[in-house]
Amino acid sequence: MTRTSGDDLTCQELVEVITDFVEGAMSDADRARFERHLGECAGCTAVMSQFRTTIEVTGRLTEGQVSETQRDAMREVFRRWRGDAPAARD
Amino acid sequence: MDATVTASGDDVELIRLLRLGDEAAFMSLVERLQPMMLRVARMYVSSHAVAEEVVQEAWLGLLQGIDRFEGRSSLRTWILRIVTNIAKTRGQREGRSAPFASLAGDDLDAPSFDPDRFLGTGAWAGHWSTLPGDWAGAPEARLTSSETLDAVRRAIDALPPMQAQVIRLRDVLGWASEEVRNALDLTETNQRVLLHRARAKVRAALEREMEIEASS
Repeated sequence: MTRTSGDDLTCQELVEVITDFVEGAMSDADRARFERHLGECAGCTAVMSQFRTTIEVTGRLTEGQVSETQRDAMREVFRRWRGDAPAARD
Repeated sequence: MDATVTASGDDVELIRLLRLGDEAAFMSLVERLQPMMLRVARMYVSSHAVAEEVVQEAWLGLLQGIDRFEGRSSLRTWILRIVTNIAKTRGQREGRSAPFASLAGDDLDAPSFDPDRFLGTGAWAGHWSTLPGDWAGAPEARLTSSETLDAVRRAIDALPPMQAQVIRLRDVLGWASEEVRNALDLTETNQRVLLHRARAKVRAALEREMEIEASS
Protein backbone atom coordinates (compact mmCIF):
# COMPACT_ATOMS: atom_id res chain seq x y z
CA MET A 1 0.00 0.00 0.00
CA THR A 2 1.33 3.39 -0.89
CA ARG A 3 0.11 6.73 0.21
CA THR A 4 -2.38 8.55 -1.94
CA SER A 5 -0.73 10.62 -4.56
CA GLY A 6 -2.07 12.24 -7.68
CA ASP A 7 -5.00 10.26 -9.02
CA ASP A 8 -4.56 7.09 -6.99
CA LEU A 9 -7.64 5.50 -5.43
CA THR A 10 -8.07 5.37 -1.68
CA CYS A 11 -9.40 2.20 -0.05
CA GLN A 12 -12.62 4.03 0.76
CA GLU A 13 -13.06 4.90 -2.91
CA LEU A 14 -12.10 1.45 -4.13
CA VAL A 15 -14.79 -0.39 -2.15
CA GLU A 16 -17.49 1.67 -3.87
CA VAL A 17 -16.41 0.68 -7.37
CA ILE A 18 -15.82 -3.05 -6.82
CA THR A 19 -19.01 -3.93 -8.71
CA ASP A 20 -18.07 -1.59 -11.58
CA PHE A 21 -14.78 -3.48 -11.74
CA VAL A 22 -16.19 -7.01 -11.65
CA GLU A 23 -18.98 -6.11 -14.09
CA GLY A 24 -16.45 -4.79 -16.59
CA ALA A 25 -17.94 -1.30 -16.50
CA MET A 26 -14.67 0.64 -16.13
CA SER A 27 -12.53 2.55 -18.59
CA ASP A 28 -9.07 1.12 -19.21
CA ALA A 29 -7.53 3.93 -17.15
CA ASP A 30 -9.85 3.32 -14.17
CA ARG A 31 -9.28 -0.41 -14.39
CA ALA A 32 -5.52 0.12 -14.33
CA ARG A 33 -5.84 2.40 -11.29
CA PHE A 34 -8.01 -0.18 -9.53
CA GLU A 35 -5.60 -3.01 -10.27
CA ARG A 36 -2.61 -0.93 -9.21
CA HIS A 37 -4.21 -0.23 -5.82
CA LEU A 38 -5.22 -3.85 -5.36
CA GLY A 39 -1.72 -5.06 -6.12
CA GLU A 40 -0.37 -3.04 -3.22
CA CYS A 41 -3.17 -3.28 -0.64
CA ALA A 42 -3.81 -6.35 1.52
CA GLY A 43 -6.99 -4.83 3.01
CA CYS A 44 -8.66 -4.23 -0.34
CA THR A 45 -7.52 -7.64 -1.58
CA ALA A 46 -9.28 -9.16 1.46
CA VAL A 47 -12.44 -7.19 0.68
CA MET A 48 -12.42 -8.34 -2.95
CA SER A 49 -12.23 -11.88 -1.65
CA GLN A 50 -15.10 -11.15 0.79
CA PHE A 51 -17.27 -9.98 -2.12
CA ARG A 52 -16.47 -13.15 -4.07
CA THR A 53 -17.37 -15.24 -1.02
CA THR A 54 -20.59 -13.26 -0.60
CA ILE A 55 -21.60 -14.05 -4.18
CA GLU A 56 -20.76 -17.74 -3.68
CA VAL A 57 -22.70 -18.04 -0.43
CA THR A 58 -25.69 -16.18 -1.93
CA GLY A 59 -25.58 -18.69 -4.79
CA ARG A 60 -26.27 -21.50 -2.31
CA LEU A 61 -29.72 -20.12 -1.53
CA THR A 62 -32.69 -21.52 -3.37
CA GLU A 63 -35.82 -19.75 -4.58
CA GLY A 64 -39.17 -20.45 -2.96
CA GLN A 65 -41.45 -23.35 -3.80
CA VAL A 66 -44.64 -23.20 -5.83
CA SER A 67 -47.70 -23.96 -3.72
CA GLU A 68 -50.00 -26.83 -4.71
CA THR A 69 -52.88 -24.38 -5.20
CA GLN A 70 -50.79 -22.26 -7.55
CA ARG A 71 -49.61 -25.30 -9.44
CA ASP A 72 -53.20 -26.47 -9.97
CA ALA A 73 -54.29 -22.98 -11.05
CA MET A 74 -51.50 -22.75 -13.65
CA ARG A 75 -52.26 -26.25 -14.95
CA GLU A 76 -55.83 -25.08 -15.40
CA VAL A 77 -54.65 -21.99 -17.33
CA PHE A 78 -52.59 -24.23 -19.58
CA ARG A 79 -55.39 -26.70 -20.26
CA ARG A 80 -57.87 -23.96 -21.02
CA TRP A 81 -55.39 -22.37 -23.43
CA ARG A 82 -54.82 -25.75 -25.09
CA GLY A 83 -58.55 -26.02 -25.54
CA ASP A 84 -59.23 -29.03 -23.37
CA ALA A 85 -62.90 -29.53 -22.61
CA PRO A 86 -63.39 -29.22 -18.82
CA ALA A 87 -64.66 -32.82 -18.76
CA ALA A 88 -61.43 -34.02 -20.33
CA ARG A 89 -59.45 -33.17 -17.20
CA ASP A 90 -57.87 -36.10 -15.47
CA MET B 1 -33.97 -3.84 -26.54
CA ASP B 2 -30.22 -4.29 -26.83
CA ALA B 3 -30.09 -7.79 -25.39
CA THR B 4 -27.45 -10.09 -26.73
CA VAL B 5 -28.65 -12.94 -24.53
CA THR B 6 -31.06 -14.66 -26.89
CA ALA B 7 -33.07 -17.85 -26.61
CA SER B 8 -30.83 -20.78 -25.71
CA GLY B 9 -31.01 -24.27 -27.13
CA ASP B 10 -33.06 -25.28 -24.10
CA ASP B 11 -35.42 -22.38 -24.76
CA VAL B 12 -35.87 -23.41 -28.39
CA GLU B 13 -36.77 -26.93 -27.31
CA LEU B 14 -39.15 -25.65 -24.59
CA ILE B 15 -40.88 -23.35 -27.05
CA ARG B 16 -41.28 -26.21 -29.51
CA LEU B 17 -42.88 -28.33 -26.76
CA LEU B 18 -45.15 -25.51 -25.60
CA ARG B 19 -46.37 -24.97 -29.16
CA LEU B 20 -47.23 -28.67 -29.23
CA GLY B 21 -49.26 -28.26 -26.03
CA ASP B 22 -46.85 -30.22 -23.80
CA GLU B 23 -48.12 -29.82 -20.25
CA ALA B 24 -45.02 -31.21 -18.53
CA ALA B 25 -42.83 -28.65 -20.31
CA PHE B 26 -45.15 -25.87 -19.17
CA MET B 27 -45.23 -27.09 -15.58
CA SER B 28 -41.42 -27.28 -15.43
CA LEU B 29 -41.33 -23.60 -16.39
CA VAL B 30 -43.89 -22.82 -13.69
CA GLU B 31 -41.73 -24.57 -11.08
CA ARG B 32 -38.65 -22.61 -12.11
CA LEU B 33 -40.08 -19.14 -12.67
CA GLN B 34 -43.25 -18.74 -10.65
CA PRO B 35 -41.64 -17.70 -7.31
CA MET B 36 -39.65 -14.92 -8.99
CA MET B 37 -42.66 -13.85 -11.06
CA LEU B 38 -44.72 -13.44 -7.89
CA ARG B 39 -41.99 -11.37 -6.23
CA VAL B 40 -41.72 -9.06 -9.23
CA ALA B 41 -45.50 -8.66 -9.55
CA ARG B 42 -45.80 -7.95 -5.83
CA MET B 43 -43.58 -4.85 -6.18
CA TYR B 44 -46.27 -3.11 -8.21
CA VAL B 45 -49.60 -4.36 -6.86
CA SER B 46 -51.36 -4.10 -3.53
CA SER B 47 -51.57 -7.70 -2.36
CA HIS B 48 -50.29 -11.20 -2.85
CA ALA B 49 -53.68 -12.23 -4.23
CA VAL B 50 -53.49 -9.58 -6.97
CA ALA B 51 -49.89 -10.64 -7.71
CA GLU B 52 -51.15 -14.20 -8.26
CA GLU B 53 -53.73 -12.92 -10.73
CA VAL B 54 -51.04 -10.95 -12.55
CA VAL B 55 -48.84 -14.03 -12.82
CA GLN B 56 -51.72 -16.10 -14.11
CA GLU B 57 -52.46 -13.45 -16.74
CA ALA B 58 -48.78 -13.38 -17.67
CA TRP B 59 -48.67 -17.14 -18.28
CA LEU B 60 -51.73 -16.86 -20.48
CA GLY B 61 -50.06 -13.98 -22.32
CA LEU B 62 -46.97 -16.12 -22.87
CA LEU B 63 -48.99 -19.04 -24.20
CA GLN B 64 -51.09 -16.86 -26.48
CA GLY B 65 -47.94 -15.22 -27.83
CA ILE B 66 -45.81 -18.34 -28.08
CA ASP B 67 -46.22 -18.67 -31.85
CA ARG B 68 -44.89 -15.15 -32.28
CA PHE B 69 -41.91 -15.53 -29.92
CA GLU B 70 -38.82 -14.93 -32.03
CA GLY B 71 -36.16 -15.78 -29.47
CA ARG B 72 -34.55 -12.34 -29.43
CA SER B 73 -34.37 -12.58 -25.64
CA SER B 74 -34.25 -15.59 -23.37
CA LEU B 75 -37.60 -17.14 -22.54
CA ARG B 76 -37.24 -16.31 -18.83
CA THR B 77 -36.48 -12.65 -19.59
CA TRP B 78 -39.52 -12.47 -21.84
CA ILE B 79 -41.88 -13.90 -19.22
CA LEU B 80 -40.62 -11.52 -16.51
CA ARG B 81 -41.09 -8.60 -18.88
CA ILE B 82 -44.67 -9.69 -19.44
CA VAL B 83 -45.15 -9.87 -15.66
CA THR B 84 -43.60 -6.43 -15.17
CA ASN B 85 -45.82 -4.84 -17.82
CA ILE B 86 -49.04 -6.41 -16.57
CA ALA B 87 -48.21 -5.66 -12.93
CA LYS B 88 -47.38 -2.00 -13.65
CA THR B 89 -50.66 -1.52 -15.51
CA ARG B 90 -52.58 -3.28 -12.78
CA GLY B 91 -50.87 -1.20 -10.10
CA GLN B 92 -51.76 2.02 -11.90
CA ARG B 93 -55.37 0.91 -12.16
CA GLU B 94 -55.32 0.28 -8.41
CA GLY B 95 -54.15 3.86 -7.97
CA ARG B 96 -50.92 2.55 -6.58
CA SER B 97 -47.81 4.27 -7.80
CA ALA B 98 -44.51 2.53 -7.40
CA PRO B 99 -41.94 5.10 -8.45
CA PHE B 100 -38.46 3.77 -9.14
CA ALA B 101 -37.05 5.60 -6.11
CA SER B 102 -39.31 3.78 -3.68
CA LEU B 103 -38.58 0.38 -5.19
CA ALA B 104 -34.83 0.98 -5.45
CA GLY B 105 -34.43 2.28 -1.90
CA ASP B 106 -33.15 5.62 -0.67
CA ASP B 107 -29.71 4.35 0.27
CA LEU B 108 -28.13 3.98 -3.18
CA ASP B 109 -25.47 6.56 -2.32
CA ALA B 110 -24.82 5.21 1.16
CA PRO B 111 -21.28 3.99 1.86
CA SER B 112 -20.64 0.25 1.60
CA PHE B 113 -18.47 0.35 4.73
CA ASP B 114 -18.77 2.36 7.90
CA PRO B 115 -16.61 5.49 7.42
CA ASP B 116 -15.02 4.70 10.81
CA ARG B 117 -13.23 1.82 9.16
CA PHE B 118 -11.05 4.30 7.29
CA LEU B 119 -8.53 6.84 8.53
CA GLY B 120 -10.10 10.28 8.52
CA THR B 121 -7.11 12.52 8.28
CA GLY B 122 -3.44 12.64 7.47
CA ALA B 123 -1.44 11.37 4.54
CA TRP B 124 -3.22 7.99 4.78
CA ALA B 125 -6.75 9.42 4.85
CA GLY B 126 -9.23 7.08 3.18
CA HIS B 127 -7.12 4.01 3.85
CA TRP B 128 -8.13 1.19 6.21
CA SER B 129 -7.76 2.00 9.89
CA THR B 130 -8.16 -1.70 10.71
CA LEU B 131 -7.72 -4.31 8.04
CA PRO B 132 -10.83 -6.25 6.97
CA GLY B 133 -10.94 -9.90 8.01
CA ASP B 134 -9.45 -12.58 5.85
CA TRP B 135 -12.31 -15.00 5.19
CA ALA B 136 -10.15 -17.25 3.08
CA GLY B 137 -8.94 -18.83 6.32
CA ALA B 138 -12.46 -19.51 7.60
CA PRO B 139 -13.54 -23.13 7.62
CA GLU B 140 -15.80 -23.97 4.68
CA ALA B 141 -18.34 -25.40 7.15
CA ARG B 142 -18.80 -21.99 8.75
CA LEU B 143 -19.63 -20.32 5.45
CA THR B 144 -22.09 -23.02 4.49
CA SER B 145 -23.77 -23.52 7.87
CA SER B 146 -27.53 -23.11 8.01
CA GLU B 147 -27.08 -20.13 10.39
CA THR B 148 -24.95 -18.37 7.80
CA LEU B 149 -27.39 -19.10 4.98
CA ASP B 150 -30.28 -17.87 7.15
CA ALA B 151 -28.39 -14.64 7.82
CA VAL B 152 -27.89 -14.12 4.08
CA ARG B 153 -31.56 -14.88 3.38
CA ARG B 154 -32.67 -12.41 6.06
CA ALA B 155 -30.33 -9.75 4.71
CA ILE B 156 -31.82 -10.15 1.21
CA ASP B 157 -35.39 -10.12 2.53
CA ALA B 158 -34.63 -6.83 4.31
CA LEU B 159 -33.42 -5.09 1.13
CA PRO B 160 -35.58 -2.56 -0.75
CA PRO B 161 -37.59 -4.59 -3.31
CA MET B 162 -35.63 -3.79 -6.46
CA GLN B 163 -32.27 -4.42 -4.76
CA ALA B 164 -33.62 -7.78 -3.57
CA GLN B 165 -34.87 -8.75 -7.06
CA VAL B 166 -31.56 -7.85 -8.67
CA ILE B 167 -29.41 -9.85 -6.26
CA ARG B 168 -31.81 -12.81 -6.41
CA LEU B 169 -31.75 -12.89 -10.19
CA ARG B 170 -28.01 -12.31 -10.49
CA ASP B 171 -26.55 -14.24 -7.56
CA VAL B 172 -29.22 -16.74 -6.44
CA LEU B 173 -30.44 -17.69 -9.91
CA GLY B 174 -27.31 -16.79 -11.87
CA TRP B 175 -28.89 -14.67 -14.61
CA ALA B 176 -26.69 -12.50 -16.85
CA SER B 177 -26.70 -8.75 -16.28
CA GLU B 178 -28.48 -7.95 -19.56
CA GLU B 179 -31.21 -10.51 -18.86
CA VAL B 180 -31.86 -8.83 -15.50
CA ARG B 181 -31.87 -5.37 -17.07
CA ASN B 182 -34.40 -6.45 -19.67
CA ALA B 183 -36.56 -8.45 -17.28
CA LEU B 184 -36.85 -5.66 -14.71
CA ASP B 185 -36.65 -2.76 -17.17
CA LEU B 186 -33.50 -1.24 -15.65
CA THR B 187 -30.70 0.75 -17.23
CA GLU B 188 -27.23 -0.73 -17.14
CA THR B 189 -26.13 1.78 -14.49
CA ASN B 190 -29.19 1.25 -12.30
CA GLN B 191 -28.75 -2.51 -12.40
CA ARG B 192 -25.13 -2.19 -11.36
CA VAL B 193 -25.79 0.30 -8.56
CA LEU B 194 -28.63 -1.85 -7.17
CA LEU B 195 -26.43 -4.93 -7.33
CA HIS B 196 -23.59 -3.17 -5.56
CA ARG B 197 -25.80 -1.95 -2.72
CA ALA B 198 -27.35 -5.39 -2.34
CA ARG B 199 -24.03 -7.23 -2.32
CA ALA B 200 -22.49 -4.69 0.06
CA LYS B 201 -25.31 -5.22 2.57
CA VAL B 202 -25.20 -8.98 2.28
CA ARG B 203 -21.41 -8.82 2.72
CA ALA B 204 -21.89 -6.76 5.89
CA ALA B 205 -24.42 -9.28 7.22
CA LEU B 206 -21.98 -12.08 6.49
CA GLU B 207 -19.22 -10.19 8.27
CA ARG B 208 -21.36 -9.81 11.39
CA GLU B 209 -22.13 -13.52 11.22
CA MET B 210 -18.44 -14.41 10.93
CA GLU B 211 -17.62 -12.21 13.92
CA ILE B 212 -20.38 -13.77 16.05
CA GLU B 213 -19.22 -17.26 15.21
CA ALA B 214 -15.55 -16.41 15.69
CA SER B 215 -16.21 -15.04 19.18
CA SER B 216 -18.49 -17.86 20.29
